Parts: sequence; structure tokens; C-alpha cells
Amino acid sequence: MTERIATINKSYRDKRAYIRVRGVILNPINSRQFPLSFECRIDTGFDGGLLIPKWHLSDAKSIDVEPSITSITLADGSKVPVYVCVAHIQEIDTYNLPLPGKPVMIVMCGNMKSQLLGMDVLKYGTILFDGPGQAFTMTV
Amino acid sequence: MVINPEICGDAQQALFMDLQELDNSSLFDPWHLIKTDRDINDIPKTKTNLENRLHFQIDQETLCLGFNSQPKPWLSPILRLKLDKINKGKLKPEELVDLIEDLAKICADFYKVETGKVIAVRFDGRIVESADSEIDLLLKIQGRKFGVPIFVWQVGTESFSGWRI
Repeated sequence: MTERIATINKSYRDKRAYIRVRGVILNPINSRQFPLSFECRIDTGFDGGLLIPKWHLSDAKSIDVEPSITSITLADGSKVPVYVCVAHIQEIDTYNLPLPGKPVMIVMCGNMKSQLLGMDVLKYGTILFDGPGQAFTMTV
Repeated sequence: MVINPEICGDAQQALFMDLQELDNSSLFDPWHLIKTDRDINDIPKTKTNLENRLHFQIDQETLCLGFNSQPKPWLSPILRLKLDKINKGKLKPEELVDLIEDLAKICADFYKVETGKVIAVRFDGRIVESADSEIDLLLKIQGRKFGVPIFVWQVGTESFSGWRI
């Protein structure tokens, strides 16, 4: 049985669950890394790790990481071309994950302002949503 | 001008004797080629020791190296036209999605990739890397340069992420 280490209690904001995530995009060839820090909206319908705007493509390219092209299906059923690469998540809110962090898939898509946190990150913990109380608890 | 070689008498006689001997022998008899005193068991068997196997492997490698480049799938003129459009930056997002799907299916069929495997494919139709999961593949190709753009795909699915069958 997995030993639980930390419990994070958060309240909803604008009727949605947000959580801060920190990590890095790491280039294993030249050992360069680019730090990431996002206030992400929890999306249990997204099977990737992080969904961030397309303009972060230049952040990855600045450390010689060339994100790969692929296509994903959005919630409305449409297919769009996106860029994907790997990032290592090192911090979920106040909880620090052991270095170099957990590898998750980053999807770079669209120009929306908010980032999504998907099941690829959420699989490392347990989340309990308290709808009437407008709060959630994440146990890592 | 024709040169007729002059053969002296003794040499001519010696040559005639030789030809007569050859005529008498069964050397020109075609059945002689089939007739053999050797038994099938006399033929030496190939020893399958390590040295022989190594030689065989080296020969195989030499054969592989004989190709200028690894074989890749044939792409239709329509796909090639779309690939040209990518270079010019004139391809619409919908066309790019179709192109990725078509290329992925052609590659999976050509290289006989198992369903469920995740592959990284160059836009000229060559698979550069494969893995069992998305993360494994992305970790393998992170930071590597392939010369031409690549795309990633899971064989047997409709898209890399999101709603898929």
C-alpha cells in the first residue's frame, strides 16, 4: 500500500478547482532545463499531464527541445494539431516530489489563458471533491 | 591478315596422341559428370560453431549495409504535395491532422507495427523511435535531432490524446 505523505486542502475559485504546479522541461542531451510554474485548473477529462498555450513552444526551443507534432481530440470531438513534449513535475502546491520529479506529457495547444492539469499528473494522488463545500482535498 | 601457326612434325604427332587419349576417355561423356564415387555421407557438414555463426552474422550485416538507406514506405503524389505544403507553411490545421493520420497508417502497415505501440515518425515516412507508452517515447526522443520534423502517434487509435477509440 502506498504511504500518503501530504494532504492539500484548497477552495474553489470561480466555481473551479485550481492548483499550483511547478516543474521543468529538461533536455537530457545538454542537461539544460526551463522552469515552469502554472496555476492549473483540474480537468479529470484530460488524459495528458499539462495543457498549456502554444506560445510556450519557444520556451522549449530555447533549451534545444523540439516538441513533436501530433493530433488530439478536443471535448467537442474536433481534432487539432498540437505539440507535445515531456516535463518533470517537481511541486504540486506545497508538496515537493522527489527529484528529478514525475515525468508527464505536456500538450501545447491554442491560445487560452488558463492551463489544464490532467490525469497524467492526478494519477500520483487521490482527490476528493466537496461540491457543496466548494473545496477539494488532494492527497499525494 | 590471318596468321597460321606452323607446328613442327613431332609436336603435331604429340598433339594428335593427346586428342586421341581424350577421345577415348569418358571426360566428354556428359554422364561422367553425374557419375561419382563419392557417397552422400562423404560431403563435409557445416559446423555450426560460434565462429561460423559469427561469420554468418557479419555477412548479414554486410548485406544490410549494402543499402544506401533503410527502406521506407511509398507515398502517394497527394501526400507528397501536402508535404511540400508543410515546407512552405501553407498547410491548414485540418489538412495537417489528415496528413498525420494517413502517414501513421501507411507506416504502421509498412513496418508491421503492433497495435498499441507508440511511434515517432519522420514526415518522409520513416519510423525513428517506438515505445510502449507515450511518456516512454517522449522521454526517448526529448532533445534529439532528426533532421526533418517528426510526429508521434499511437498505432490503432484515432488521436494521441483526448477522446479516442
